[in-house]
Amino acid sequence: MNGSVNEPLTGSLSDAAGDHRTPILEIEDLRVTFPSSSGPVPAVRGVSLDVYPGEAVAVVGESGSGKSVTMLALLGLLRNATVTGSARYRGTNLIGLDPATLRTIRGAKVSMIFQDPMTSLNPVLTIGKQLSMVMRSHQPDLSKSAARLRAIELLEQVAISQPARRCDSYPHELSGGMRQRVMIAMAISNYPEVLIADEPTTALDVTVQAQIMELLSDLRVQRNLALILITHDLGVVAGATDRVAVMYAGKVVETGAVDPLFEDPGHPYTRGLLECLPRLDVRHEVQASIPGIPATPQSLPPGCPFAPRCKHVEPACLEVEPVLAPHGATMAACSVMTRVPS
Amino acid sequence: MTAIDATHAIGDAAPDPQVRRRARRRPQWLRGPALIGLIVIALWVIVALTLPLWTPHDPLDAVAARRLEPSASHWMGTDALGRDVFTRTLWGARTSLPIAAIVIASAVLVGTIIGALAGFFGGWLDAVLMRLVDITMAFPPILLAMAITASLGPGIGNALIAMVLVWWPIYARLLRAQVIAVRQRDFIESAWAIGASRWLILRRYILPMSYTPILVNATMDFGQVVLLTASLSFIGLGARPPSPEWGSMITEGSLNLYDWWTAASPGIAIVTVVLAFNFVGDALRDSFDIKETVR
Amino acid sequence: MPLLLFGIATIVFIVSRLTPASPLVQIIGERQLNNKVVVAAANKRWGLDSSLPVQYFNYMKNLLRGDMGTSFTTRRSVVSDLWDRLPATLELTFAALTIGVVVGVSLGVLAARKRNTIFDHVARFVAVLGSSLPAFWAGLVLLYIFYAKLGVLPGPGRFNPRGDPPERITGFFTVDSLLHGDFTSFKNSLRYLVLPATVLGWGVVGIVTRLVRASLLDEFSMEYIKVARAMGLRERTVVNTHALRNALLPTITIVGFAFAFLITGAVLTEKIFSWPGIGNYAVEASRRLDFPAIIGVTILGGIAFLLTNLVTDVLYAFADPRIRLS
Repeated sequence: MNGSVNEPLTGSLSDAAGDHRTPILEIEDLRVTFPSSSGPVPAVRGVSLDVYPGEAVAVVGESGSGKSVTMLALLGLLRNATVTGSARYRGTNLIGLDPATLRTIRGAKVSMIFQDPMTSLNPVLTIGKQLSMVMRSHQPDLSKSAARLRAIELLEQVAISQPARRCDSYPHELSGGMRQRVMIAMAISNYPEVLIADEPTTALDVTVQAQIMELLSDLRVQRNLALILITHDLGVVAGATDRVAVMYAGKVVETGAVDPLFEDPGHPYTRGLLECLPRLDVRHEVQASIPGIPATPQSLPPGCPFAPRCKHVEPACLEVEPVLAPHGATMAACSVMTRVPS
Repeated sequence: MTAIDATHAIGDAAPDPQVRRRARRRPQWLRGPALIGLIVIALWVIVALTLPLWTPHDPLDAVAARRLEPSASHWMGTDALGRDVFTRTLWGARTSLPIAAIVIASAVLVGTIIGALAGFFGGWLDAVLMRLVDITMAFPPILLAMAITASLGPGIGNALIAMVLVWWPIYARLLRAQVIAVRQRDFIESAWAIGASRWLILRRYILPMSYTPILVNATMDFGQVVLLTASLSFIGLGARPPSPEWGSMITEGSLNLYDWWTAASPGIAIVTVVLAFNFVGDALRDSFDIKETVR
Repeated sequence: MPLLLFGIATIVFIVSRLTPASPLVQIIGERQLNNKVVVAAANKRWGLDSSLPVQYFNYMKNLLRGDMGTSFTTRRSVVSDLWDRLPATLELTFAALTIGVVVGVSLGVLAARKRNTIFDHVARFVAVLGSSLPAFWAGLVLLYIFYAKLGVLPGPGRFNPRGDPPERITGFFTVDSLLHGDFTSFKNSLRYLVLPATVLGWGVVGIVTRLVRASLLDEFSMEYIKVARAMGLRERTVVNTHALRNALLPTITIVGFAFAFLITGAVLTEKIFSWPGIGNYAVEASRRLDFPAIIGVTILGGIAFLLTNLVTDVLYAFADPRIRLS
């Protein structure tokens, strides 16, 4: 993290109070609903998040929390979904933007990489060809030979050995870690300003995980790239990001700078997640876990969605859904924990 | 068009299993073309069964002047011998439908037995039987059927035998694949371990699990067999005149193009039957989500 | 593979000897059947006097030498009969395949891209129709419309009876006339080719459209397609360069299958259009119980099938880099 633009941020939402930079990506009240045979399903229920240039934000949550859907929605990659709210990239709202313009932003200004490197590349085209296609899609004046040269450079930047040879290889000839690097290369080939990484290391070995995270980190520094890291693994978050947004049941339930959040989490869910992290310096008798099953979008209880699993639950929790309020150095959506003592 | 289907995204969240199961039980396949297909088939079956009771004219005798154009009294006109084309077309169903049914039933029966034997016992029996299947399937069906029928002697009965001989390998392969797939599953091992006989396992486990692809295949094959019957008759190897079979009627119709109704009528009949079975078969296949049929 | 060929030949032999009737009727006519001398001579001449195993042995021996016997009706060697007629069938088959694949792939892509819209339904209906129409009837209908009624296309046959077909180089009238620089002949042969090729091709459209549509839809749900879209590729590129390349792989197999099937499955179409190919030969042979000819055609059909399967496998392996490089 050395040298990056990285003031510790208080978990402020959309106002840049005390901060002279403007966010490069402003998500405001994003809602995503899917139609289903049993009625509309609200996968994302009002997410707001600001991302500043060059910073690394982690979006943490379990499966079904809506973290991936949020990002897919803002890039227009969802079919059959109703998306409302706004997601402004440099002032332009991506939601509802006409597809042609959105396409020029997607992959060029705001890029995304995904979880499973084994299936993310087209098996019948060479790596080089796939890289060129992405580049020439956004830079139509680029010739085939120039694109190939650039592709080789990119492969080198993502630390793939023998880049010229690899350029003509097919995906199945590469290992998972290498394929993920290729995907990263594709994503940064057009110098984006925001990179969304959806569980980029979940499918990889632990050692490879570390390498990939380091690569992402280096790229961030070199290019002043903002990184949105979607993950369910808090371990990855600690070393790699500046700010964290915790999502549960389609909403952000806590947000804050990484250190304060880890030291003194406000929301009981965050607390629970941290307690579940195995630690080397403390003896564990039993592997901790959060009791109950995660809330699903189809079956949301009234009031706070975490209430059924929460140890601090009070009757008021079952009636009104809490909003984000200050808790120490973070913002948490829990009426109990953020109560101001009278 | 965008990448993620709703179900994929929601699938991240543990989906409500109840919702999924309920949705699948509804007979969705019976919509649209499949419904039309089923109705058409039902109509033809009714016609075929009840025709002698209400036939508009005699299919074999001349009932009016020759080569009359379609009119109110003769909906599809008359052919070169003065017979009512519409009546003969309806009567054609009484040949084509039962023949197709017998052919398919026999082919399924023979194929099932052979395929089950091969899949179950394996070894040299499997090798020999599958060679036989491969060889038979190496011939374009119509050629083989022609050769066999010509050899046995032209006639609808021999054509039937020929078609069964051509068709059984498909079902043999199908069933063998099913048997092999199911045979390796654990619960078969358990059944075997507690002493269930081979036949019991075959009957109670393997066969019931195989009927879906057989059903889909058989439905789609029904149309193909009708086509093949007509084709053989068209060449002169199947039904013989004056029998009102669709294929031979088309042959007669081809002799004089200008009397378009003599060929059009049986042709339309064939098309409606085959389309109907194709629609139903398609819908069945979609609903059972079968990606692999043997052909 | 050789085992299969052997099996094919054997099966055909068995089939041909199933006949209860004596094939002699065709050769010497019914009246002569009572004449013992003639019968004996004919039996000897055509090898029908020896026992079955001996006949089989001779049959296989001859086959290995490339001799399929002599046709009862044309009195020429079956092999030369087939050789004469092969180009006509091949020309028709290639034309039909071209039409079938081009139209089929286009319709399949259309149906997949505009899934569940009117385009999809129409495309699929056209395809299903192709699989449901009896080829011979469709041929008749088209002949009626375009020849009898509208008169824009010529009737049955392969070439204008008043003109001369081009000198045989490849045996393909279209290709040969082009090679001779004779554009009138070329146009002529094309006009005769159109209808039968369309009829045959429609069957191919049926299978290809459905397969391409299904394969494309499968590909669309693949992860790498999502990634391609996320990288901002144009939809057209995504479909054509990414999805289609993968979806076409199974199509190669189907086209191979279609080719083998067409070669001798063109039987009915050739009959309707009086196209002088192998199919027509097969029909005549069946009617006249010309067993050597029947045997010859059937064996040819089997061989064609095997050959195309082989070529298809090779092509497929070549097209899919995962197989090619392993």
